[in-house]
Formats: sequence, C-alpha cells, structure tokens
Amino acid sequence: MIVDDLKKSLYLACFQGKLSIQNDTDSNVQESLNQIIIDKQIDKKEIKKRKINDEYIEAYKLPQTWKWVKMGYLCDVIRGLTFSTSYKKQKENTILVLRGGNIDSKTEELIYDDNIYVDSSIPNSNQFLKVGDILIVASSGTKTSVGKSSFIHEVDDNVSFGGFMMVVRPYEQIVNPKYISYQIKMYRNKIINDTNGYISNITNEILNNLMIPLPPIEEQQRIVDKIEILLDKLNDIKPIEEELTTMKSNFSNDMIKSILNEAYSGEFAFTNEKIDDWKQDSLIKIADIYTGNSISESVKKNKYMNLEDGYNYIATKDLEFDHSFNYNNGVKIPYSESGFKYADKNDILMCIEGGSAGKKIGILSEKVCFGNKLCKFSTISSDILPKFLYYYLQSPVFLKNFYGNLSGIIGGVSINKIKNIIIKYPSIEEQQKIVDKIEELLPLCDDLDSLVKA
Amino acid sequence: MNIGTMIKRLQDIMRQDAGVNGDAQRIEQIVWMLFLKLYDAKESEWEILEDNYKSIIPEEYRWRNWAPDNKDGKAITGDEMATFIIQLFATLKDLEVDENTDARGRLVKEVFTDLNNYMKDGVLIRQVVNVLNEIDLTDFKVRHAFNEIYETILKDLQSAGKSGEFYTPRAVTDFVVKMVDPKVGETIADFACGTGGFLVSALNHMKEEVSNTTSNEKLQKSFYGVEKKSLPYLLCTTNMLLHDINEPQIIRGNSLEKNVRDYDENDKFDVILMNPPYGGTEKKSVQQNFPTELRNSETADLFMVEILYRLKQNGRVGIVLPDGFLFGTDNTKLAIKQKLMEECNLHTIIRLPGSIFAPYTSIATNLLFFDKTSPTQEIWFYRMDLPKGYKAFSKTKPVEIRHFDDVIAWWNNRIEIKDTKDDESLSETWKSKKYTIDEIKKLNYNIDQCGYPIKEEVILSPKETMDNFIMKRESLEKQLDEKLNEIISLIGDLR
Repeated sequence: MIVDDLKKSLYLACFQGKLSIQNDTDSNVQESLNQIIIDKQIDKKEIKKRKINDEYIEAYKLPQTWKWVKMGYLCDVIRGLTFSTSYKKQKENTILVLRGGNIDSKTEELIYDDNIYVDSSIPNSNQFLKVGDILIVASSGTKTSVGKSSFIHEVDDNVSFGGFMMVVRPYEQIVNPKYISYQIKMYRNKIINDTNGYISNITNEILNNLMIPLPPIEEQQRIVDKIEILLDKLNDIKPIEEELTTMKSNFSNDMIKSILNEAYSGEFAFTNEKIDDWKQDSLIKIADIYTGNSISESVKKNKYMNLEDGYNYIATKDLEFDHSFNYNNGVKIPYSESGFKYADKNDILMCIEGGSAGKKIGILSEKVCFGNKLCKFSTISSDILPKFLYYYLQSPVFLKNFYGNLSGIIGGVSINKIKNIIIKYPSIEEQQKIVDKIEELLPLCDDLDSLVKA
Repeated sequence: MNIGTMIKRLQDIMRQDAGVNGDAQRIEQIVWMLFLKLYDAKESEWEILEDNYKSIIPEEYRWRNWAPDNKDGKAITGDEMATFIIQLFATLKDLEVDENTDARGRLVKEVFTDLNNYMKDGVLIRQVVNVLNEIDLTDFKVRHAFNEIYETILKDLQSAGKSGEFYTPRAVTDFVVKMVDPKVGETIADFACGTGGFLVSALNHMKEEVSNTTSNEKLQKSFYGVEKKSLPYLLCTTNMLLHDINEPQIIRGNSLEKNVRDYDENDKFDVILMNPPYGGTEKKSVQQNFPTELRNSETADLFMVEILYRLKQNGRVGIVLPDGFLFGTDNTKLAIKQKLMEECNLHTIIRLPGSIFAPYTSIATNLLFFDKTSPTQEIWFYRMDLPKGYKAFSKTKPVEIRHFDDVIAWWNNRIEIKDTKDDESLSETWKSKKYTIDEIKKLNYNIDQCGYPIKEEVILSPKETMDNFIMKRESLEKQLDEKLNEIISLIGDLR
C-alpha cells in the first residue's frame, strides 16, 4: 500500500534532515552532548555499565550541524518490574502495571484493559511512568509484538510497567522525547532483526547502542512537527486506499453477478423471448436433487482412507471456489459398498450448508460419492439444458431465494425448500444462446480481475 | 434565466483557465464571487433601511464598482483584472476588525481568510463575472429561486469527491425538522453544519410561523453553526445570507476542541440538529476534552457527548447516526448510550434504507430523536422501507419528502407492525416495535432493532456495474491524488 511505502520514505527523509531547515542560530550538538555527559556523569564506568561499545556504523551522511550519537548518551533505559504472582486484579491503593497487551497494536496508544496491580513497595523510584517516556515491549512470545512502542503523553501518577517491558526516558536537555519516539518506531523492524533466540528479546545493550541521527534540539522540534502533519495526511489516505483495494477485489465478482442476473432475468432475449414468455417449474420437477452421506472421522480413518480402488469421496473442502474438484483427496468408497449415494459424471454438486452454502458449485468429471452438506443436481427434464441449470444455480435470481431461506445456527437451506424453488426457463434454443454468451463473458471477467488488481 | 445552463457556462469558461483544478476548485471560484455579489445586494437593502450603514469593504473592491460591465470598454479585464483580484483578496483578508466591528463586516473577513482565487486569466475572470451578473440578486423573487440552484451546487460539490462528509438530502433534513418542530424564540444549533442544510430546513420551517417584524428579528439570532472546513463554511454562510440571515452565527472551527466541562448555560441550545461525520478519528488533544469514561476517538461518538452537554433542559434533538452507533457495545459507546438514556428521553429511532444517501455512500443510517425531559422509559423503533417500485434510491431517483408520509402518519399514531412473511417458518421480524428501557438494558443497549430483514443486495446491469466502478474509482483516485498533492506541497517547501 502506498501509505506504508510513503511512511517509510518520509520518516527516512526526515531523519536525513531533508524535510527541515538547518538554522545557524540553532544550538550546537557537540556542545550539548559534552554538557549532557557531564550532567549525567556518563564516565568510562557508566559507559561500561550501559554496555555502550565502540562500533560506529553511520548509515548515511548527515547535515553539517547534526551528529550520529548512540542512544545510551541521550536517554535512561529502564527495565520493568519483576514480581511474584502476588499481583491483584483489583485496584486498592496499588500500582497499575502495564504490559504488552496494554499497547494497542493498531493505534500504538495505551489501552487500559485487563489491568493488573502490585503493591506500592515493589517499584523503584525510576519505574514510575512519566510523560515523555517511551514504553517498549522488550520481549514477547509473539515476535511481531517485540519493539511495539507507545509514546506516553499523559499518564496518572502510580503507573509502572512489567518485566517484559522497557522504558526509554530521554534527557530532555538534549533530545526531544517525541523525536526519539519516532526513531524507535522507525527502527522497530531493525530492532527485531537484531534480537536472537526463539523469544525475541531487546536488551538494554541493544537500545543503548542504537545510532541516532541527532540534530540540534530546535530542529528536532521542527522535524517532529513536520512528521505529525505528514502522519495526519497519511491517515487520511489510508481509508481511501483501502476502499480502492476492496472495490477492485469485488469488481470481477460484481460483474459476474451482474451478467448472470441479466441472463436469468431474461434481459438477453436473443430469440426475442421475453421473461413473461418463459415457462416455469419447481426445481424438483426438472432435476434429481439429493444430498450425500456424512462419514464420522473415525469411520473415515478406519475404513475409507488410502484405498486402492473405489469411488472418490468429495466433501465440501474438496470443492474449490473456482469450481474445481480435488478428486484424489485420500478418501475412497469401495465400489460395492452399500448405503452410499452417488453422483454421476456431468452432474452438478453444490454446497447447501455451512459457511460455503451457495458459494461452492461445480460440474463433476467422474462418478463420485459425496458429503451431506453437498447437494447433487442432475437434469431429468429434456426441457432444461444442464449448463443452463448450472449457471442458474450461481445467479442472483436463484441465490436471493436461497439465502432468503437460510435457517439454523450453522446456516443451511433444507432440501425441501430447495426442491420447491421455482425456476423460469425459455426455449432450448434460447437457453443455449444464453449459456454460450455467459461462457463467452465469464473468462473476460477473470481477465478483468487480474488487470484491475495489477 | 436557466441557472442549470448558467452553471455549465461558468464551468466551461473556467475549464480554459490553467489555474483551476477540478470541480471543488471550480465551485469555490463560483461561490466567492457569488458571496461578494450577494453581499453587495444585501448592502443595498441595508443602506436603505439604516441611515448610518457603512460598508467594511473599501469602495473600489465593492462588487458594484468593479464587476458590472456596461459594454463601454471601461470594465477591467485581462492582466489588470488578474492583478486587481489578487489585491482584492489581500485587502479583504487583512480587513481590520475588533470587538466593535459590525458582525456583518466581520463576516467578510472571516469568509475571505481561508479562501482562494484560482483563476489566473483576467479575460476569463471577466467572462465569469459577466455571466454571474446576469442574475439580479436584489430581486427577492430571484434570490428565492436561486436557493434551489444553490442546493444543486451543494449537491454537485459532493460528487467532487470530498470524503467523510456527505450532503444530507433535503427530504431527510425537512423530515427531521418537521418532527422536532423548532419554534420562533428557540435557539437552534448544528455543531457540524457543513453547508447548512439543517439550519436552512429549520429556518424554512420557522418562517411559516413568522408573522411580524419582532419574530423576524428573533429569527436572526436563532441559528448557530460550526464547520471545520473552509469551503463548506463559505457555502453555509452564503446559504444563510441567501435566506436573509444577515449576521449568520457560523463559526469556523472544530467544536470538539473545547472542553465539555467548560460549557455553561450560554452554550446550551433548545434544539440541536446534526448529521455528524462518521468514521473520523480525533486526535488525543481533542479527546482529552471529554471525560475518560466517555472518551473515544470516533468523531460521531464525541459529537453525541458534546450534544449531551449542550442541550438545554426540555431541549430537543434530531440526529443522523450510522448503524455502528446502534449496535456498538465497546466500552465508551456503551457508556455514551447509557448516559444518553439516563439523562434524556430517547423516544424514537427511525431506520433509514441504505441507499438514502446514494450515490455518495451506501452506509446504513438512522434518525434518533430525544429530548431532555426525563430518563428514557421506552424507545419506539420504526423501519422506513423503500417505496413501491423503488429497488433503491439513486441519483436519478432520490428520496423525497413525500416518501416520509407513511413515517409521519405512523409517528402520530404509533402501533407495532409485524412483518408479513410468505413462509411462516421464518423467524418473526418487526417493522415497528416498542421496547421498554428494561428490555434495552437486557439487550446490553444494542439498539439495532427493527432492522432490514434481508440484506437486500442491489444488482445493477453490467453496464451500470462498470460505470459505477469507473466513476467510483475515478473519484477515489482523485481524492488520493489531492491528498498526495497536499503531501508533496508540504515536503516541497524544502526540496
């Protein structure tokens, strides 16, 4: 989606200084850095404690006034609380502990769901969340959650965070907290790639060694302002793109439905037969209609799996949405087995129960046994072409009736209801012309589908 | 004077100008000129009625002094016109106003503050001005007829593809107003007024009651609207002026940006009518203006809360909301519905057919009516079905006020109506039913009742399906391009 591509490239441009002005009057980054090192006492011992190493890989060239700085010089990195299962779910003068699930995956905002609380004696003084903090999921069973972060722009006084979480607390004298927050979001993927082991884990060391392209603090604010306007605009684009994608994927189906509707509402009228001239009958009068047999899992396994000979057994899962059958699916019914119903070559099979009811239909190319959610149709009247019936069962004219009769929790139509549905049909000649036209147009719709989605 | 052809002529002229891009800009172009011309016509009246009336617009920029063309070769055109318009805009944007300035004068500055002139070609500008001058807006009858043309302009604006907001059909606003029945002396508000549809419907309704100048004066101060976007704001103010509201109290802004706890009696209204934008999300800073338990990022939900804080005791509300509000039970929606039913009497919900806003959107909407008299005891539901012979409403067959006749008849004589079914074995559904508040509570405040039994899917002909697809795709891609252009201009400043 263009929104995602744009987002990445806009972030990158921002952090290369391409979307902000470098002002002569801005403060000096090196001086601020020197000052911070003094203020926060980041001496050799501290550098060792923070595990800041010597590796300096500059990803790209920075504007003159900027400098690559490791995050360990710009922030405190704080690990979350460890506590025994003495947490409570009730709030009684205690500390709320945030966990990975408290960051909404879509909006990246805090959500206060499924809260747990601990006693106020457990957190250290620096383990209380503050405005300006960035809360990060440091480890999680779900690899995609690792690195998920939320910028804290408002929080109550007694909120802390759990052991699988980390907080980056920027030094506001040198760095804009929101600036760091966007850096972390952008490097989220990079962070995931840097971790190892089955349960992904971000360590203090990793965060402290993150290379941050650092502009003067005034420019950081300008960049943050710019990003936020751009993100707003991108959010406006997202629903438009999504709607475009949806309508494109629906188009070919809509066309097929429309064509079939025209056909069976008598709009084609090749031989000038109008719909009022068409004959009509209930389905049971023109076709053999019945459902198949169900087989329990155990019986299937014991008796009908991996046999050499027999009729293939077709269940709903073996009939695809593109009308093809998966004949050799492993289940066969021996030729001489009693108690099973059959469907012959050229018969129609259609799903009439379950989630795929009305959506799966196909014409058989061999004799089979079939499941009870599938219904077989084979024409018995010489007034109806099999293919006419086949496309009729896919047309909105039939399906409206069909769906109108859905009942039950699972959602199916009783065989009796189907047998009594009235089908309207013209002369054989007209039927053939209609079928020909449909078979001419339907492949074109498939072409449309791939073209439109390109 | 056939205004339909006039609009077409204007569009044809503007199409030749390289500076104007797309329908939205063309309409903005027509409307600012229309505003100045209309304002000038009104000033003629005010000059007659008031001894000391003085225009805030400097003489040389008043429409009467530069727009008319006496065909004597003296009318400005060409490069001179192009430069003149640039100066006119600069002057009007920079008009000096303070608390003592007449509201009518302040209106001019407010309107021009975010307006743009797109046409670059002075000769073409002159042609457009001349076409507009074929209408005599000082003639009251002409002005009245013009209102309807104005509606067409407003409708056309929607097909220019502005997302999120859509023009509420006049039939719907007229129906809501009829049921809510605002009276002279009451204050009427719409906090997301768009082009002013509800306000104008209310005005027309109340004008029937106006018998003398006193009530007419009361009417002047009765209407209050807020609109976020500049073009609808302009259209709304022009709309109010067209209807002789000389000092329209239309605010340009986002009413959600004020903390609801800061509202006092002066911020409350007797009648509130609204069709808030759906599907929008509001920033954190905006959400913070609402109590935590009612806080939500969805724009429509926040407007509902704002209404609860700004409704006077015994006040009445008519609001259009999507299905999502009715069945939604996520934390804040539930809390909002609870608060609504505890503080107000939600007495009626009318379900509207999906195609009522066709062709702009097919979203399922509903009309909610409530008043601040007592807590809700019972809610009446009524499903408005499509009229006979209508597969769906459409651009060529839009909804009309007469389609509401059945609803109005039922409103005054409420009975429960069960749907008749050909097949008795199908579960029973109701077209109209009353639910007590206890039943609603048991349903966990799911007020999605008396809905449409089967999701009627409208199948169009193949050609219509294709045309629809092409039209919709073009509109969406146009919107996409506009947004992308906005982004380009944001980053283009520097590189």
